[in-house]
Amino acid sequence: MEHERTLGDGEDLVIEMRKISKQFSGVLANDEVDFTLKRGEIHALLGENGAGKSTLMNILYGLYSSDGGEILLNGEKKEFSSPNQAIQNRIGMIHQHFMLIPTLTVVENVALGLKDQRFYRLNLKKVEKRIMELSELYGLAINPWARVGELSVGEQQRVEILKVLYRDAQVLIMDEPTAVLTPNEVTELFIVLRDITKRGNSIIFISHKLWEVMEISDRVTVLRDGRRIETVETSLTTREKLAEMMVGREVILQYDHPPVRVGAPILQLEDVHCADDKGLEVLRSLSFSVCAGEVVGIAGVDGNGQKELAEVVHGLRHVDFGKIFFNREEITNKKPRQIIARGLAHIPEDRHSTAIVMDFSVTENLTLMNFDSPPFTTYGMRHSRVCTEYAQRMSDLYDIRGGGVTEEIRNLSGGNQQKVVIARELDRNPDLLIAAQPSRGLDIGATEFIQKQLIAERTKGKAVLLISTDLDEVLAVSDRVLIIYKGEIMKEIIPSQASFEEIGLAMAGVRD
Amino acid sequence: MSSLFDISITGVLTATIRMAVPLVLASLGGVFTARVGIINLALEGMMLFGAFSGFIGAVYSGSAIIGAVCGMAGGALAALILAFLSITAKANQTVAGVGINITALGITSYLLSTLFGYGNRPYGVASFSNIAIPVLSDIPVIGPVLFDHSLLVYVTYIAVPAVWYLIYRTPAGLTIRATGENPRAVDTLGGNVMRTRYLCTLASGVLAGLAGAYLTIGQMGQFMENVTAGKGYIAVAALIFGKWKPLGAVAASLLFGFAEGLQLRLQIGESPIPFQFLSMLPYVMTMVALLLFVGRAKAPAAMGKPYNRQD
Ligand SMILES: Nc1ncnc2c1ncn2[C@@H]1O[C@H](COP(=O)(O)OP(=O)(O)OP(=O)(O)O)[C@@H](O)[C@H]1O
Ligand SMILES: [Mg+2]
Repeated sequence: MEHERTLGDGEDLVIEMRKISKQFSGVLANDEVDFTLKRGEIHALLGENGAGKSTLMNILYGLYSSDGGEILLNGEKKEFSSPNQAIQNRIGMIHQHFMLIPTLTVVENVALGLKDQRFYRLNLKKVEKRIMELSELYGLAINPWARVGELSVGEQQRVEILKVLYRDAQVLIMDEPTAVLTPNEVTELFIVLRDITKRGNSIIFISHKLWEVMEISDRVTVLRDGRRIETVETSLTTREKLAEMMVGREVILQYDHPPVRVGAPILQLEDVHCADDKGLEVLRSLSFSVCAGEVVGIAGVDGNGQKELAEVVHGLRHVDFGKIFFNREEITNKKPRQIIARGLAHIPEDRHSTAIVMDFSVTENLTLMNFDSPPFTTYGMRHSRVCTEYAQRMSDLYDIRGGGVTEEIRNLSGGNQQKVVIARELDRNPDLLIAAQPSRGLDIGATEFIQKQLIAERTKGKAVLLISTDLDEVLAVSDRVLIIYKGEIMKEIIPSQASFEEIGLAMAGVRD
Repeated sequence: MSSLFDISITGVLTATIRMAVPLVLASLGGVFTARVGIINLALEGMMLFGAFSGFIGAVYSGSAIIGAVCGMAGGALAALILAFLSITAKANQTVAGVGINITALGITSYLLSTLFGYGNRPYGVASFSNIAIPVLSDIPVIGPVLFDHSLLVYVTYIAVPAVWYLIYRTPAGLTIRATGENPRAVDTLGGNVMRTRYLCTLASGVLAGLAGAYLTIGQMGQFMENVTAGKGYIAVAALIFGKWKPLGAVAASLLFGFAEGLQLRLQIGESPIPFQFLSMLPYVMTMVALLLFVGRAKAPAAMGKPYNRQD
């Protein structure tokens, strides 16, 4: 009977998931979720961090076993108890965190686990040939003999896509494929995705970025707190409506900037030059200033000196030429400690490797900068109760959720980890806040919270330097935007007065 | 020089091969575990088990070959314990390894004295004798150094390229190498992480067990308490020194074997250096090698980390 209904709909369903439930030690990650995928469509799965998107797809891929519900493939009921079965049924998944082996070459990564190899001999030439065919067919340029660890993130993703295409998948699950890509790479990826569906394959596209979903998908399913909220045709909805379904309340996509008096310059760069890790000059004659009471945004395609800019201001990278002033005092090539002592706070780009200690608790991470000084430590004795109370207060203030202050920070969602960093940095009451990609990988709720904090700092009369490759973010938060290209400022704009085209050209290095 | 230390190049090199063989076998075993991401300090215990069971097998069967097979089985048994503790029970692998080593020492010493009592050790036990390979063994220097040994040495000669081929030239080898770097990637491509890890741990036990048997029945036919005397740890050092690669481990084993061979020859040659110092040579070399190189080499990324699908 169920079977008939599927066919009766007159729709060509590749996958039908019915009432899928999954519980993780207390958390109901999926609560009777229904999901269908039509042949040839791109179906977006939208939801905030922790909504249960990855869980649902890991169940489809056979990595997780569901606690209830059933899965139909081409109208037939199937058990997926291991990725092997999913692969055999031509389902491929590109995971949120890449499943690559950096020490191996592209061909080896693709060849791993292939069934068409003879057991006594690994035939990489054969794999290479097919990779080249696919790469040509889909425009996925790649050097098959390159070591994966040496590839850019965009190229690594191509390897992931090739792995799935090589196995001849008819269903591609892509778990937040754009989280780590630059805007250009996203555009390229979208071309590839459209190409894949034109050949009759279907794609499940997980994201929490609204414009991406609006641009690439045919239908959208919104998940919230493990439940399916709605499935809609993309053409019949709007960003605002999707945001509301996702968060469960109205969301502001545009912020107020209460007027403040712009004060004295806090940070000034004069003709700064520096080199990257390979010794190539990445900042060339960079000059600008950030004043008290303003957010200055640095926009640009990733890799144009943004990372190094944050590092030279923080004293983490040597300035080869030029001067940097902080509150009118020169800080060029001073030690990070000295610069921090003058009132710098930094939300670094890569929070996992530089901002937090994954094995430490929330409390320990919150007191990381000053655990050894009063009130946390007096006469060499650490007062854990004082620390806990402080952490509790910060958690309430910054809305840090997930497990309490004694929980190891690795068990928190990305958004909550970032909130810990922000709480710690802002509580030091800095004069200047550098925020590098502060909302990368975070959902709307967390992003909104963090962006509001940046604006609140500026309204309090602090200087904020926002470095982000997310143009929406830079435009929504900044008072002034500087566009960086190859380590130089190409253009300065006021967000409300500039067009996207104008900005896009400057980002590509075109001067007017 | 030769008047004072009676050491010929041929003599030293022949001793090098003899001393290196157990290290080569055990460190090749270590390659298997390292490449699937398991810390294997238990090589010492596996060798000791292999040495003991190999000896017992030879005593009761009267056949050196059956003894060698028993040795491999003994090593595999110890490996099974390591596999269970580190893969299934997800215990700390360093602790598991050291635990196995201590247990091996205790059990073999105890069984030895209960089976044979004191001063009643069997002698004339079946062991491997030298087989000079025709033609090849007549080549000057190379001949006696490489081609006048017991069967186990020749087996080792074959094991080296075989392990290398398996690891670098077969689909299974690719899975092995990937498992040590990113087991989740293997899992998502339909590979079986648990099975790969179990099989490789067993393989390391077989090789280390054979290495142990070589010590007891490879030349003479005797078992002494703690007959391995830290050779398993030296194999671990050779493995690290050789950057967890089969050929690297073999080269490092040869180097340590050379130190030992030289030391033995110097002792026989009545060198003026007290023999206690000479005996230290291989161990000192191990430490120096580790000091100089261990920081630079990069271990497989998933080393020591148990795999759990759902986290
Ligand atoms: N292996 C696991 N063990 C315990 N809890 C888990 C596990 N995987 C997911 N969860 C929990 O299940 C819920 C859903 O997580 P899931 O990863 O599916 O969310 P998501 O929508 O993919 O979020 P994100 O956007 O952050 O990737 C979360 O509360 C998460 O903490
Ligand atoms: Mg996810």
